[in-house]
Amino acid sequence: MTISPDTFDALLEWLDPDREKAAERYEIIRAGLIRIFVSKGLSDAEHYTDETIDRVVKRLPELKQTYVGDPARYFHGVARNVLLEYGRRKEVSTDEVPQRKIQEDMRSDAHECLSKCLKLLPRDKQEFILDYHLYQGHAKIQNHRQMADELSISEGALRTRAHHLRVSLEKCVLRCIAQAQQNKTAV
Amino acid sequence: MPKRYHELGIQAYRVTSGNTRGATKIIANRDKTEVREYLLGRLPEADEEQFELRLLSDPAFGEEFDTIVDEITDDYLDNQLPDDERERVKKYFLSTAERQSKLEFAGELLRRAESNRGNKKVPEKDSHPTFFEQVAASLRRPYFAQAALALVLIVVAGLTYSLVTTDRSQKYLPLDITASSSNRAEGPAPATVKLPPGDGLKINLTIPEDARGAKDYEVTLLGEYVNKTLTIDQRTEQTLTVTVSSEALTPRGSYAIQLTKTRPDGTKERVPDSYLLRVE
Repeated sequence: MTISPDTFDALLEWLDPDREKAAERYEIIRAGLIRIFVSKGLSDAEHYTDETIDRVVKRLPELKQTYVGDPARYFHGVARNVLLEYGRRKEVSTDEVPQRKIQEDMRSDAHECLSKCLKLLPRDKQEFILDYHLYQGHAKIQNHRQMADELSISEGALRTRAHHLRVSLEKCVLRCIAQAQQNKTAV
Repeated sequence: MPKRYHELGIQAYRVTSGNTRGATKIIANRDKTEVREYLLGRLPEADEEQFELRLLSDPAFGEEFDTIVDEITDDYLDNQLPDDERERVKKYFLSTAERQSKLEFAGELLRRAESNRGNKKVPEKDSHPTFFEQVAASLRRPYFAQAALALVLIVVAGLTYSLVTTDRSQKYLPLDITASSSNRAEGPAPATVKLPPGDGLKINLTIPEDARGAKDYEVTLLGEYVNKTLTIDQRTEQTLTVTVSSEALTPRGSYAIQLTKTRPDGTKERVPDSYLLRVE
């Protein structure tokens, strides 16, 4: 199904009459659907998320007339159907998975890309993210406590700060790896 | 096709300058336990609907969810999970390409952090100088030496008196808990205990009726910063007694205790109900 800007506007309008709030709700629903699909074992969660939104959009004219309640609940019902159709999560044999066989060149890409992406960060943030991920177990807890003390923030705020930084670093590394792979294919 | 909506969505989002990061973060420890259970495929189906609806409507909860995904990934790489949970992570949590990709990134990040460690010391239990370190530092200053020496004598005398008159060994407060359904919205409130600093808990867990008679049991303490198998001190037909140190219950907050039973044929099964505990 091809989505037009008008259809998308209609979807936003259904989510909330205030366009700003509607856009925010859309993003929250979309992110939530991706989290659900990944957690239920469907790779390419973005595809199934779009499939779910497609199905909702198809029924939009009718929904606008008849549906009463939180749109998120309707999205959830449709997502559940998509899950049923495309297969519930299957547990995999421990002998088969636990880690994908990573090609050596990909590992080397990841290594180089992490270096590049870390360099894009200001020095204090580089130090912060690496320090945060030092140690294991109890030493890790003590380390986070110390870091929070030094920054005069709560441990919860420290955790959130580290998470935001990690998310942006991960995005940067994944983009960089994809680019590196693309360049190799082109050559 | 993927990202098609996302591109339109982002456009709409930018035009309207919406931002979910300003959302108020009120995430209880019990929510964190619930996220973990969901991620490991152990949340009862009856609770999944409410859980997933929250994922579709609460951005702060979504962010917490992502943070816990990262923490489980790190714990797996650091080998910090009990055997049964590690198995669960391998079989369930890591079975998509997205999570495998996260695992690769996390592995690289942890290796880099480790190689960047250099001469950094493992953090001490308490970052502040101890009393004796402070006294030693004062003694290095000549004009404080006499006063400090007097202070040391007074403190040593006080401590000696205190040791003679008080039992200083760690105390374990007794507590009886019964398991409750993991639907916390409807289930009973968690057992709440006010724990004096330095004290631990001696907990009697009533084994749910349908979980009795197992060959063996495994008891796991779960909290924001802890995932620990507890030693069973005593077992009767209906109860298990475990001791939890003060350290394991730091920081104060909500904890869950999970029970795994070993059947006569050696297979293990997690008991669906958990023991909920709030330490203040």
